[in-house]
Amino acid sequence: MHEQVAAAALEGAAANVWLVPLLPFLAFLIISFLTRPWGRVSAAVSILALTGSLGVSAQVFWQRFTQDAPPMQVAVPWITLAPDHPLGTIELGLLVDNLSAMMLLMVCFVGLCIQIYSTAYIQTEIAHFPTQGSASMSRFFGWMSLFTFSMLGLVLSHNLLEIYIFWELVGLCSYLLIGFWYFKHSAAEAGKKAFVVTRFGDLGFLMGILMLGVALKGFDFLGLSQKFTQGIPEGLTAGFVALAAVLIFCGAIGKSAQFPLHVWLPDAMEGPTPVSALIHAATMVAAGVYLVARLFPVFHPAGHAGEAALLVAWIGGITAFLAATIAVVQNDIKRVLAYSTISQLGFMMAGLGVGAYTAGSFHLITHAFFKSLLFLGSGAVIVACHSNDLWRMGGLRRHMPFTWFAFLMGCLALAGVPPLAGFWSKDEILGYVYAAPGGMALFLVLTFSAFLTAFYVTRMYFLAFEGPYRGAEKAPADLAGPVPPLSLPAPFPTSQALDVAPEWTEEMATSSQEDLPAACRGAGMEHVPHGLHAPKEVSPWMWGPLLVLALFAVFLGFAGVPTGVGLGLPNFFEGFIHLSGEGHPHEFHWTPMLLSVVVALAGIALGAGLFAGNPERGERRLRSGLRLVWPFLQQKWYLDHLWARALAGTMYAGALTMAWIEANLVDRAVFGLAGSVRSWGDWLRSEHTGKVQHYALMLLLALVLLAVGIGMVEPGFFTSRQFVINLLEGGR
Amino acid sequence: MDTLVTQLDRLPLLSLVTLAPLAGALVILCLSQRSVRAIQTVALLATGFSLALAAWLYARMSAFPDATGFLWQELHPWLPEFGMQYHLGVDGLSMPLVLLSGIICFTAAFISLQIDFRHKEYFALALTAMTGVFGVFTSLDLFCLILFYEMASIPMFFLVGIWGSDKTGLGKPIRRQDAAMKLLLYLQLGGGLVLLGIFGLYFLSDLKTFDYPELLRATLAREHQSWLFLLIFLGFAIEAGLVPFHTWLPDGHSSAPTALSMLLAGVLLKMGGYGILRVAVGLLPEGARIWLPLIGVLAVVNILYGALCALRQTDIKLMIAYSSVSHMGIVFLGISSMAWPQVGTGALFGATGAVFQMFSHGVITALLFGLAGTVYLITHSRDMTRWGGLASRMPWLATVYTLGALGSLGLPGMSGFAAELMVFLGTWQQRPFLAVLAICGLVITATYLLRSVQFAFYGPLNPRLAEVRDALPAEKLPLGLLALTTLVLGLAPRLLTDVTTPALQAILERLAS
Repeated sequence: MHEQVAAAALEGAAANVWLVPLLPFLAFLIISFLTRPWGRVSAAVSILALTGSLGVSAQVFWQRFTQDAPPMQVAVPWITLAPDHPLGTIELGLLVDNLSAMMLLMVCFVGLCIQIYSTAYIQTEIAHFPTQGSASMSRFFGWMSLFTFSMLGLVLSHNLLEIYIFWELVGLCSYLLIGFWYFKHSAAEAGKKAFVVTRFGDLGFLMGILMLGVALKGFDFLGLSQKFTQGIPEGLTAGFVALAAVLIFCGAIGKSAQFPLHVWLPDAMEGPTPVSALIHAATMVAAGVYLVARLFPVFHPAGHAGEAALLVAWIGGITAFLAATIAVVQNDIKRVLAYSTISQLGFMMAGLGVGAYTAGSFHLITHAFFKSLLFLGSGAVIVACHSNDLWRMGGLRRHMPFTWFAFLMGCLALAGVPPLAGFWSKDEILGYVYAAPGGMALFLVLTFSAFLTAFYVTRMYFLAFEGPYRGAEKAPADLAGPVPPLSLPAPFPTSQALDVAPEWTEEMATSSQEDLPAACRGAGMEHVPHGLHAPKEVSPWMWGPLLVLALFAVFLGFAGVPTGVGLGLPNFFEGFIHLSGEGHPHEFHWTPMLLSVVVALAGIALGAGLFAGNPERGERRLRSGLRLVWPFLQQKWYLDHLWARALAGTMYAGALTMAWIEANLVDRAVFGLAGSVRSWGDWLRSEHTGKVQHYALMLLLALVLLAVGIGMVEPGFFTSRQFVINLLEGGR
Repeated sequence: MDTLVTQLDRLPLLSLVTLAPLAGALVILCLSQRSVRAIQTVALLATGFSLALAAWLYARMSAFPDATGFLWQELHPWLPEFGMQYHLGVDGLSMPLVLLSGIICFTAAFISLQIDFRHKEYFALALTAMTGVFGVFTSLDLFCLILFYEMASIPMFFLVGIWGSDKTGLGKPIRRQDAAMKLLLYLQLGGGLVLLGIFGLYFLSDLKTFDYPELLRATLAREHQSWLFLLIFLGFAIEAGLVPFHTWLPDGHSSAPTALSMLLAGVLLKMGGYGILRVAVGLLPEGARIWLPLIGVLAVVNILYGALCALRQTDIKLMIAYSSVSHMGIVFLGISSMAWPQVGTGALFGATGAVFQMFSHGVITALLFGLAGTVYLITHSRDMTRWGGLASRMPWLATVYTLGALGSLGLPGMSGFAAELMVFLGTWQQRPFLAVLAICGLVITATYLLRSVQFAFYGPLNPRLAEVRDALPAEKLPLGLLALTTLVLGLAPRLLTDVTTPALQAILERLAS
């Protein structure tokens, strides 16, 4: 990574860096134990703490930006068993380098925008549920603070085991916040799915950590990186390193929702929208990308092709393409954005896979800004229209001008229109892939995904903001509704596979609503106003953060303009985040840049052509044009079904088998043994009849048996002299 | 202050910890059946005294990390002609388990306030069993140990059979009387095997003593060690829930009254794990080296088999019981890594992880059983599918159950994670393949635990349960104490590892030589 001089201790502003995660954690404690009943106070505590963190991280960032200092770290032992052995201690520490300083700033800043937005937003969601009160707001901000703490801890992690700890903790917060409205069956199910699916990836992650750490006798990032600067470390084979890297990458696949473990992220949209913006767009899902960037030398050992890196690149490419295609057919505005997030994370992975360390990290940062902007914008739209369905929107440009402007900027950035942020960062990845040896196929896949991106963004924009407002009444019945339709069997059949059904289900709750207490109705208690009200602009607490984020979506890209473009701007980003000792600075190519502009414009043109005038007709043309591909995309490439059968099915089949063995083999053997003991006892008992004749007979039989036995053991016994004497003298 | 401490050290401290519950039981026997409040108070005082004293001793031991050997020993001849004596003492291996027993006994006594009939017999029997539990961990004489073991296990038969609950609903119904019989037979089988093994030690070592520190000097032939190890290991392993000798565990634990489930899962299982470490591995190093590698394989079977069986259950207490089978597999896996004491830090991590897991699993499972039993008391059903949406009526119980479930599935920040991490780190250094299989169990664990959280507490509220209550203060206190313990230990695992390391290193040195 950087020049590996021995890492320095924390100095200057960085000496206070422990405050950055600590403040949100304190906020979590205060909210949980002190301010629970007062939602607004809790919000204030949470925001205040995060502001403090932002201040410290800005100082740290400025220190790193202005001084060319080596990475700084500090560590304390967490578990010490054998202090003098390299593998005898597990440490917790803080690592401050340029990458983590930048991530800190991003997480704090985006998090703060989202929390300010949430103060107004979460109240609108709470108002939908009659049983929920101010404590729900406290619960929300408490968990948001806990998440922020975990995410900041993850960013500052100093070794692999520590990053695994925070990795699991952000997963926990994701689980809690997806299932925030716990009385909704769908939310509870989605939370569990997110946790379990990502844990599949984490199995590999933990194995990879142990494999690499045990082999190299250390877990800390700087030490590991150092061992790889001269190529594969001594004593290890390239295959071993590649396998360890792939296992670690499994964790990134799960957390960053890469193919094939991406299935949890769209369902995670059950959480409140700010949660989707913070966790499932800007920060946590980027943790996988961050991990790969942290371990860049492990994926790209000097002087080796890096099979693991190739896998990373192609997983990224496939994910970018797959998610972009599914995003095209979604009707739920949040699901469009969710698939878009998956797709963009794929771009980042592809970039890191081909060695574009700077470009991948740059896209991570720009994406965090414009995607959280888009999610928050969608939240504002949902509040105004009381629906997630794009077909129930329309014409919002005139009703909500601030939201419209901010959202449009986000759309343009995501579509890759120059000179907005998304253009520069995505283009840099494409340029790298283009230049990489053998990267042409991947380049074509990614370019086509970029085209699709521009197309679905345009579709979403026109459906929501242009034309007349449709509302619930004028929504086209044949086009609107969830994708895939809810009538299909659930693709993750948790309960059916075990013949287990809860006594009380969501359907029963919705079918008999009248005389039930509110809490028994679950999602059915949601209070949605009916009638065609014109949507209104949301409160300034919500559009204010939108405009701030829009500012970044527009201008952040100028921080990383390639020097070859000739705008006369220095490439700040590359100057700050780059690999050490890179002999060949990335060569700039005009071809991919022009091509990416062309595909972006083409995608927008196609989208506008179909959806600008009469969106219903355009959608019908799109569906008929896609023919059989449409249902395939609608069913999400049938991957959820595949997973349900392959993974969940295997696990439940295992459970059924083991339970069968338990009942029919193990327990039966035990009972069989007990039964046989009992029947022996019964048989012996039946001999105790109480009749003297019977006992006498038994006595005689026993004597005969004894005599025969003795006779067999010692044939001459009964004829011996001693026996006769004994017999006659009665043993005297 | 110093003088006070030295004065106190002259007291038979461990006897006080161990025998306080028995004294309580004797007092209760003198009380009238109708003075329920007095009976409960005596039980709480007795267990509270043991807990306080155990915690104080633990704190003093961790203040002197360099102290080796057995502390606070009490040695009184009992039947010297047979080499039997009353010998108590603790080291870094047993002290955490004494503290664990203190915590579990105290919280179990608190939860026992839920008992609503035949208080006198219940508390007398339960307190007697608790003395047995303490005694197993404090005894330094193997014959004493067996006596305490019997003292702990025999009352369980009556407690489960009289105050337990029957399993009905999905699957095979289980009567509590049958479960009690099964439990007693298995525990007696285990105890019998151990007793045989201990007699073997007594006669084969030529020392003619049951005294543990003296037996440490015994030299036994390799083949003797081998089969003695097998006997003692098997006896204790039955008690610790080794597959396929585990079936007493789900039936017994789920049929027991709440507090007894806590006691059974919290400490009785750990008597098995402790016995293996202390007696089998500690006294028979050669035998251990022969058999420990195989035990790792059995451990992985335990982990996966228990987890998969737990996934099948809808009865919440059965699910927790099977999760115990799975989690005890982690203990076995950690112990098995002691087979290679010379290589790296694998053995030390494995052994420490095993002890850590015993403590952690004891606390977490007691917590889960306590919560499940309390919800059962309120809803009159142990079947999770007949609950649903309870979080909106019992937010406190839902929160703490979620916390317990997360701790049980090994979430960082809770004690279970530190234990599993150490065991995996130890095993990986020796046999990565076993570690891979064991790690795969994590995802099954997460599935069944989160499923139970979802079935029980999430979703719309079941209208049949629209009027149920949340936990009472008398339930919040013990359950909160357990939850707090696992959090504290999860954040600062050194509180435990610093105490256990010297003792475990001593055992490993014996194994290595």
